[in-house]
Amino acid sequence: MSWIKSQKQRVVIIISIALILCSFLLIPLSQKAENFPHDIWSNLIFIMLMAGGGGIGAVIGLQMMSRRRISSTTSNIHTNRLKKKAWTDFWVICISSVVGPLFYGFMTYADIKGAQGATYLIMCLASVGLAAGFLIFLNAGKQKYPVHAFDEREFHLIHKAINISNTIFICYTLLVVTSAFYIIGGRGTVPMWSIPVALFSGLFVAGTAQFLVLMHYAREDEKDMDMGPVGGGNE
Amino acid sequence: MNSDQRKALFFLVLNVAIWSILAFSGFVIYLSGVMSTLYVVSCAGCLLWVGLMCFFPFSKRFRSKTKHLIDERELMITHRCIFAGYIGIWLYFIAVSIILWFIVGPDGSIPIGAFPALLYVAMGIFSIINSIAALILYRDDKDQIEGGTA
Repeated sequence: MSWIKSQKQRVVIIISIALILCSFLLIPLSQKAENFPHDIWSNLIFIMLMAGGGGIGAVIGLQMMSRRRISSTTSNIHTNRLKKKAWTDFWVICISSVVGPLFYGFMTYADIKGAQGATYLIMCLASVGLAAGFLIFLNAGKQKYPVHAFDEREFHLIHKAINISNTIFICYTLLVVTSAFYIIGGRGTVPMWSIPVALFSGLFVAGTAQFLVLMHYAREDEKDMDMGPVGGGNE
Repeated sequence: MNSDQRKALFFLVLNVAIWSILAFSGFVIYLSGVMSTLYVVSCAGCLLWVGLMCFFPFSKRFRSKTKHLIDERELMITHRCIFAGYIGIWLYFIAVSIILWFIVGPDGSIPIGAFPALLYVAMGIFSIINSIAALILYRDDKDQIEGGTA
């Protein structure tokens, strides 16, 4: 095992291989379990996704672990901008987390009650939303340091906070799926309305995490500024 | 092409291969309508071996050739690649919610077995977008450097 860089990577590899091998056990288990869908080819995609996903998950884990983390943050006087951004984003997330589910609930109710226009309205809004999201996605690749808003260090910290919050969102999603699996059981079903609700709650969790991380960085910077540029207020 | 680009290209090809196998198998099963355990094990085994190739870049020989220090520029590119991957995942989850809403209906229900599959697809999307973003950003960066020096 000398070709593995660290102990953590070994653990990731072992868990991934175990996951991949466990996916094979689903075939005999599904034959023995009562009321389990015996239609084997309906489960094929799921089984193969487990095998493929285990490998891809291992790659992502190893790729993230093999990166060297460099945290070169020098204090400057722009802390308030970080704080301001944290609060602005947090309020936007809070408002979205309230307005979004309310709007979705209303539309679902209207659709169930037979209001056909609700479906077309949601379709239009969803199309516009997806197009806007795709444009943001394309712009994110081209985005350079917006000098007028943030400097390079702040931009780096904001990116870091966003990545941390997104990682928390993924962990939250995994937790929700695993909990649902154990609570409801493998043969149960989940109501459709719970998926957007889970998405909105995930958005709120991720937004809160981003807010907390940005506030943490802002506080650290404030401490550094209080201590002075040379690293001590004793002089 | 530096080592990060080579690695990104390798993972991109590998991911495309894995998901192509999945898509092809699903398509064949859908068309034939006949399924046997042997076929399931064969497809899963094929995926297993292709998936194990993911560990190739971590082999001693590969690492010894590609060992280098990571500077701030590469770190920034890595962060932006991860950022692009996460945006892709968000868009994917939103699209899944909308599509399922229209397929199942607002008062319908979804089998719980579909959720892990959706997560695995999300992981695949993340990995593919991450690799593509790395390739594009390194290429753009190289173009800028070359343009600047010339």
